[in-house]
Amino acid sequence: MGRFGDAVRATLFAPLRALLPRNPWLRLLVCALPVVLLLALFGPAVDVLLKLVDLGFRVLEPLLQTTVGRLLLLLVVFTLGGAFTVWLLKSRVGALRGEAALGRHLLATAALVGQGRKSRERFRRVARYRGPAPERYPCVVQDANLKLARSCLEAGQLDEALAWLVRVVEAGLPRELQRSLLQLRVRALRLQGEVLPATLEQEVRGALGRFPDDYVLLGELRDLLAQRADPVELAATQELVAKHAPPAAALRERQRWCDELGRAGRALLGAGDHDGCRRIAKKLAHADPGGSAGGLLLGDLHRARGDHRAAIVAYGATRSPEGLDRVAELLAEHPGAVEPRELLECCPLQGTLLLVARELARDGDQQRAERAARLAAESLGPTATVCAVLAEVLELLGQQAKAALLREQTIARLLQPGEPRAGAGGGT
Amino acid sequence: MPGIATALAAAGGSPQGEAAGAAASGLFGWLLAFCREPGVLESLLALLLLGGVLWFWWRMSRLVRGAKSRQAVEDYLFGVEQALHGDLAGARARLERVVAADPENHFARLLLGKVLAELGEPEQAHKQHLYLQRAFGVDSPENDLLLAHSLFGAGLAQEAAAAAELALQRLPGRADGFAFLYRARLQAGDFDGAAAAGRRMLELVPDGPARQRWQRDVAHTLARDGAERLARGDAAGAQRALQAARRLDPQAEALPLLQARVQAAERGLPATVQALLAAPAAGPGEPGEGGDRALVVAPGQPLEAAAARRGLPMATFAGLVPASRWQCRRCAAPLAGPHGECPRCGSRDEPVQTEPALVQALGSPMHTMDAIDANTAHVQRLVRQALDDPGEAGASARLAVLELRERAVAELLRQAWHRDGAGRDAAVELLRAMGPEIAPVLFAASDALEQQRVLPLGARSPAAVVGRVVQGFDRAALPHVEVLFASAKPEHRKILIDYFLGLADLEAFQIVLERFPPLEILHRLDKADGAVLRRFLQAVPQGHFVATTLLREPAFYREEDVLAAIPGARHPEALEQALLARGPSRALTVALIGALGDPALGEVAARLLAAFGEPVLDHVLAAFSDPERDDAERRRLGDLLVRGAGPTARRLAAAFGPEPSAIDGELRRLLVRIGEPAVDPLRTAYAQVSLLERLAFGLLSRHTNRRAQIVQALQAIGTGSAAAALGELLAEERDQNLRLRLQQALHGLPGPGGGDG
Repeated sequence: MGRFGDAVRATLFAPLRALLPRNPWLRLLVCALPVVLLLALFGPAVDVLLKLVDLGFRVLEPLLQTTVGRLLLLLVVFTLGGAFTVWLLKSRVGALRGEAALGRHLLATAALVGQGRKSRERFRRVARYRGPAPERYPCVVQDANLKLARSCLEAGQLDEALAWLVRVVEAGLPRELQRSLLQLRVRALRLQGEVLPATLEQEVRGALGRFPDDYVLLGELRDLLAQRADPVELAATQELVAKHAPPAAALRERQRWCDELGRAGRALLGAGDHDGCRRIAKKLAHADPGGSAGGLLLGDLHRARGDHRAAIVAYGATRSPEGLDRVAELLAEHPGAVEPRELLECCPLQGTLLLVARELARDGDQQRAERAARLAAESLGPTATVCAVLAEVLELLGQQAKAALLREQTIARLLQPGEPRAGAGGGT
Repeated sequence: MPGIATALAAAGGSPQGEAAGAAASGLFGWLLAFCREPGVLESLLALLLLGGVLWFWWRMSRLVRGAKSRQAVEDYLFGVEQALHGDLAGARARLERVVAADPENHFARLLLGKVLAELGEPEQAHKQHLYLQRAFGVDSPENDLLLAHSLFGAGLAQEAAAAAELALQRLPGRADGFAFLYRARLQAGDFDGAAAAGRRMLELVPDGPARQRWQRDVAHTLARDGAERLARGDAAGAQRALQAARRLDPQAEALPLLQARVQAAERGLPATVQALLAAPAAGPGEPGEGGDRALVVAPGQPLEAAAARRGLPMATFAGLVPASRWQCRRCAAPLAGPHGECPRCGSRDEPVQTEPALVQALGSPMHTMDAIDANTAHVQRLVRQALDDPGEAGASARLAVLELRERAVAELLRQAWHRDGAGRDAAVELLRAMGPEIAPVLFAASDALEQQRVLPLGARSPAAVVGRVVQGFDRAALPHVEVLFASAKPEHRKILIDYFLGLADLEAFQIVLERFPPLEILHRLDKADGAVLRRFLQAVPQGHFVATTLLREPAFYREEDVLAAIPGARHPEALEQALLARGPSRALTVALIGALGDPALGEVAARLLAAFGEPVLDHVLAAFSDPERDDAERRRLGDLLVRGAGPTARRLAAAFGPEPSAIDGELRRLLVRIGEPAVDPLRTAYAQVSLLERLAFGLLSRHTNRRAQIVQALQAIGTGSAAAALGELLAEERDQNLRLRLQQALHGLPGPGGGDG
């Protein structure tokens, strides 16, 4: 009915509106003129009005006689005038307030870097603003709430951060602010630590459902999963993190992905899931083509299966010091697992010569052990590892004095002030 | 109002107070009186209200003006939010739009720089921060710090550290700023500066896990700084760094090495080494005596324990060497692997291995294992390398072969037998270098090779090679060689003769002369190495059987070696006589002529040639006329020719060609040196008529170069008989040109006969 009435009224007054001047004061005058004319035609009514005016003057007159009264009158006049002006300029005042809030928000934003306290104060004032929203940026209050929540989070004030976040009205929130809201809420809840893990995970996954590529949210999920100790899922999440990491962090995240994959593989190996471990090893080799982690995991897998030769091949194929260490470890656990010739063929590195020498020395094959040790010393030089292993070989061969001398020389070399810390060794 | 005035008056009890109170009451009184004037208070209130309204209006309008001055507000604020929540691509797009529309929006530009840096474009980020600093004159330490970050991202750690240091002077409370400065200093390799920044940062970081992490990190840096100070000779500084590092983290991995080095600097290296060796073994994480960690330098660390302590299964110097096999290229921090960025300095350079040689590929595992086994394949390979490779590898292979000694003899002999020239010489040299102790093995190897021969031809016998080898041995090989006398194998007989030849001892050679027929010895002499034979011949005494018989045998073909042995011979006359007795064979003549230019052999050669006389004159004249010989040699040859006198003159006169040549003058001078004995041969040669002249019946001119040269030679000889010969020739000559020449020659002669025709 109301709509119908409005339509009728609009239709009836349309010609009148078309005739009326555009200036509101003139329009008021034109509208008031018939009323004044009508009142002039009716004298009693005018008299009543005059009486009312007279009554007003009589009330005001005593007030005008005293200073306090005049002051009160002045205040009343100013208040009424101001209220009337505001009423008259209601829409313009609203716009003005909105712009003022926006201006304050902009000042607070500009103070974000380097003027934290000032920025927070300004954001607080914006957050308290309840007037009409500025046209150019309607979500100014929500934005201020988010900025305050972020600031509190950075300062470690978790409860206050949550308070600001709760004040954010989600309905109609732009996508950019929604993303911030979800990130901040997840982080605040996780740091606060009192929310149940399942709830928190649900929260993160819900947020990721809306922003599946969000690096920060993925990182939060990763950290959450890290606490739950599910290495496979953690590695899968870290893969997504590495995929969506910004360039400045990509290398670091990729490295962490490889680390997580390695951990997952070892966990599966420990649990006896060899197929899963093989899959992880393949993935690791794909993730880190130039690295040794994949080969090492594959070697661990073979080792767990008891295929020592394949394990040594896998370790050796990495051509890494870690691989060499694993081979040494395997041979220490299983002496004579492979023949020296086979060992060299499986792991054709110069460092393997040390292991061959040690294996031969353990077997008591003195001449061959000495030759292997000599070859190793000639090709590798007097590094710390070489000297250590050769000293061990000498001891196994019963040449204690030589071993002690070698060890002494090595330490003396390591203690030289100018000697670099790593890779230094003694004399041969 | 009067109440107030009364109260004011009561407050001033003293005379000064009264005066002040009077003054105050006067002012208040005037104010009261003024305010009592009608309309004053109202006006004041109205002004106050108006002022309040105006002030409010001014504030509001300022905010609004500020807001309206910002263009693209939505882009700006959303861009800021995106930058904060990590949507870097979106933030970049928005902020770039904002900056394009509103270049004066400094915060947007600042944030854009930060976003660009996180997007991996530090150069673009640096540009934005530089614009702010220089173009817009923004004096903001925050911007300066971000500029330092962009420099750091661009790999300019030194410059970044300098910029950050300047910025942090105005931001002294920024822990993250000092953390950045610490990283930048580390990456620049300035451990001293990094340690200072780290300490300042620790003052600002609150207690917690992060602080503990930083403490460990700074302790490591301090240890590194201490090591550098020690290397520079600043032991006190190193000690201070050690103590500071120990305070921060007593378990720091780098501390034991620094502590040991400091101790070594204080107490001396040997004492410290002994102390370390004597210290009980303990793991890197276990506390040792006196609260310090003992170093694991004792052998035989249980593997499980080492693995449990994150030690290296192969290293037993844990504590002195890092637990990691990788280290940062910039800050030398131990790293877990070869990839990723350094967690301490943020460097993305590829890490370096502490012992890269460990993982270098072996050239050939099979060859290496053969070398360890020292099997036949290895020996064969080594011998081939020793003989074929003239470089460093070949030299080391030769050393290795010499060390193998008996094991390598058979292969070396085989190679010497199969090869020719330099390869055989090198193998023989190697066998000789092994010494006479290898003789039995050598003979056995020779026998084995001999049995493998399909066609036992003498020239290809391995015994020849063995003979050459044993020729290089001294008397020490005699016991090994003597056993061959019992052998009936012809190869062994050759070896025996060769050995005694090599000894160059005629007394010892007597046994050979007694046991072997001369022809067999001659064969070995003919096949001996030049050096060996010369050494042997130089020992031959006068009247020895070798000199009087063997060297004079026609079947002995090494005359040039006899000649070469003369200069160093103990009895050169014996060798000279042997050569003279053999006569001027073509080979010897050539060798003698060739030896004329040799300072050591020249005299001997000239003597022998002179002794041989006319039979060698043709060879000497041919050599003299060879233009490629040098002057000294030619002079010697000339002397020899002059000694030949008449026969030489005959050959010289016949040597002038039909046309003039460069040698004519030389020949003529020789004739002049011969002098009087040359006149008759010259006259005879002048009179000789060639077959062509006879057949031509005077149609061909007699005026030839030969006759002209003879005329000139006779004129140059200038003796009476020469003048007479010229006169006779003039009288007989019918050719006008020759007559003219003869007349000129006669006219040019000195003395009474000359000049009157």
